[in-house]
Amino acid sequence: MSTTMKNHVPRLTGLQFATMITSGYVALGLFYFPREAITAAHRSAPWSILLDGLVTFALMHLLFRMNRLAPHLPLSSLSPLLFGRPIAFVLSLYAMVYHLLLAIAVVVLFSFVLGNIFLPDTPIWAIDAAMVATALYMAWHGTVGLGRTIQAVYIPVALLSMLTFLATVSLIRYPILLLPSSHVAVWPVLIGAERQYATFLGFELMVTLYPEIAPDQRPRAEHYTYLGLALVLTMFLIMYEIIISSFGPALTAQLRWPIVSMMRILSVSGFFIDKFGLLVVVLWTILITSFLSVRLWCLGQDATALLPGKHPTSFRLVLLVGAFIVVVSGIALPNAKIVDLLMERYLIPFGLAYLITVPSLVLLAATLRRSTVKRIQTESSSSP
Amino acid sequence: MTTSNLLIRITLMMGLTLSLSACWDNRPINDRMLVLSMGFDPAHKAHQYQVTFQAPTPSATASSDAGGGSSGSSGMEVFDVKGTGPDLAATFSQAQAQVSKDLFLGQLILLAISTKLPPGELASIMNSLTRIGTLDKTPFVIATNQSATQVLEHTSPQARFPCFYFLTLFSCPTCQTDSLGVRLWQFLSREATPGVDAFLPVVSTAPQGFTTDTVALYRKYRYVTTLSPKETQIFGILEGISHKANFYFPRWQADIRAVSGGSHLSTAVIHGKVHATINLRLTATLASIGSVTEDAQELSMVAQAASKRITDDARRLIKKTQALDVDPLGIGRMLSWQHPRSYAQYLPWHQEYPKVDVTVHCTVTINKMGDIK
Repeated sequence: MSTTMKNHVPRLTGLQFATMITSGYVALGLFYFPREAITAAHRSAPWSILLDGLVTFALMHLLFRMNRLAPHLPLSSLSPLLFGRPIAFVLSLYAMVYHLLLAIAVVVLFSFVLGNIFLPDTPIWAIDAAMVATALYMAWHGTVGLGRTIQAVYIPVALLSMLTFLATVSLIRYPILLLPSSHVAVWPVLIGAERQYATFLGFELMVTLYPEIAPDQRPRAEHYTYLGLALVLTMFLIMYEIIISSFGPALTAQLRWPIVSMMRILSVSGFFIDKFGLLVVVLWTILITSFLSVRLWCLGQDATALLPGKHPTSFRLVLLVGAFIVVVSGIALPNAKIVDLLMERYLIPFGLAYLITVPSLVLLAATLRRSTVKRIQTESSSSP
Repeated sequence: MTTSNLLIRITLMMGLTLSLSACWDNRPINDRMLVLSMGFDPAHKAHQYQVTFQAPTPSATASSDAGGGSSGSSGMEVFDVKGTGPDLAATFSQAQAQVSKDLFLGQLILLAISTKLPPGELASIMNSLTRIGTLDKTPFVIATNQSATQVLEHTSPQARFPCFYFLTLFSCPTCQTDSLGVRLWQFLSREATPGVDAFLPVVSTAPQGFTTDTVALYRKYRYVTTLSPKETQIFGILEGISHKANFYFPRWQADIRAVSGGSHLSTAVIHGKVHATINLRLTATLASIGSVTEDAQELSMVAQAASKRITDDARRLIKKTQALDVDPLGIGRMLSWQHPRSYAQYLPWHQEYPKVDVTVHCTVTINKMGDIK
């Protein structure tokens, strides 16, 4: 269960790690993509999306550098050695709140999509609870089980979604909009990038997950994670192009969930399911439960690192408490508009602050305390 | 794994599977009245409108077939419930009170709008429709100069329910002279986008069904005019949605048909004045000609005459839209996409549009001539 448990052998493969990381950030911004970027940057939105991708790449690079300092230790175990317990406690708390907020945001967003489109008579709490319970079940049996489950379900659904989305090419009506605007206004592009960043926000779980990779798989894991980012970025750019050149920028900015709207108007004649896009949207439940399960798993890992004893029961207790908080918070948020507002005002700045500050602080501390880092590395290489 | 553990896991899995099956929303189809068409007409009171919800009768639902069948022979195939009120929710409540089943709007196929509907009411209807979660934005939208209810209640021997007639018609772009089908999201996209105005196909009843050969032009939900069939044909060519347009040239007793092809619109700002250029590259089929075996010169002359005719008609149509301050071709939209900064100087666009200098270039190539040498 916990990384620091006795006889724990990290066994995640590179592909499992990369899939878990990718599943941990794509789902959140999927629904309202690319509304925020287009609202702020209009036809310069591709530059905002590309900027988001570049920032994510840079921050991933920074996090991997941080992880390589002590690859066998999660941040919750490394930070007390570098900063002392009080600061380490604050950092762990920050990470836990981060996981919880992302989980709440994704549950609320998707439950409103499902409730609005497919299940108008089902109470939102029931949708929330069903998704969280499934995610809880997935996270319950530890890292490798979770990794395998996500690898088995996430990749096929992601591929099916991509292929389905490519089918919407037939809906393109304004090819001129495929080209980004030649008049690039820097400030709107930056605003668009910031507001759209929720799409990439969740990859911080690599901090918690990195020690779980089998040592010989680490270079491959990093490679696959970057590859995953490149694929996600490419797919988002294609999605943007299709949406803007079908709906036009004005209507896209008015749609609550542009991608869902796009999938809904896709009709495959001759196929036994007429509204094939709708089926894919329902299958996205798998993406959401994957996202949720890795969040809960990370929450469990970070929390148990703070608790004495490191018993599997503690991990599962944290999972249960975390799941309960997610469901209750999901019910407490009245509508999708409020979630949009909270994400824009608080969650994105909160997440970006974590992603920039934590690796920068750790790397700075590691530079200043070279002997401590060396000692940790020596201890780890000598330990069984 | 112990037996008890296994049992717990199986129970959990079954519970999760059931919880994810969405059975809460399960409602037997027999308990639902699937509304296939909605018609919107002005009401007698100001700021109110009448909505007709049309659904197939239970017997018709049981034996429905979108592809064929005729109406009238086996009694009523569809029935209407109506509601009048200041908003869609009020009309829906009235309609719901008249039926024993759940009125369900998630299967809508057709929205018929009376051209007499005031813009405020039409905007309100569209706003309400887009907020119905179960309704995707794919129903076809038609306008009518008659009553929308009258159109919905009219039957055609070509389709069992009126909405199926239009579903078949608009789902096959090449089956029409111009591909006039407009889906709800396409109408909304035009209404939302600055610099372009919406159009809708106009439907009128005919003894054997319906006639759909004209379009109604709208400016921000306000009905402006209906183009004549001839103007609609030219509009279709300018929009690039023409498939079966035809022209007759008495000089050669020549008839060309299937005039279709691409339309390319570009804009420029020259000395502070907006210029728009529309390039039409069309192909046509020679349907008939006075001589049995045409010669190359004759063909060339017919093609040139067709080019000139289309150019002249297009100019006339554009002048008419400029006089009406309605921009269905989206010249303003193209300006905003190609020259966004210039476009910002010409707002509000409807004041600028009549002054735009529009040039039309048309080239018709006759590429099919039949089997006679």
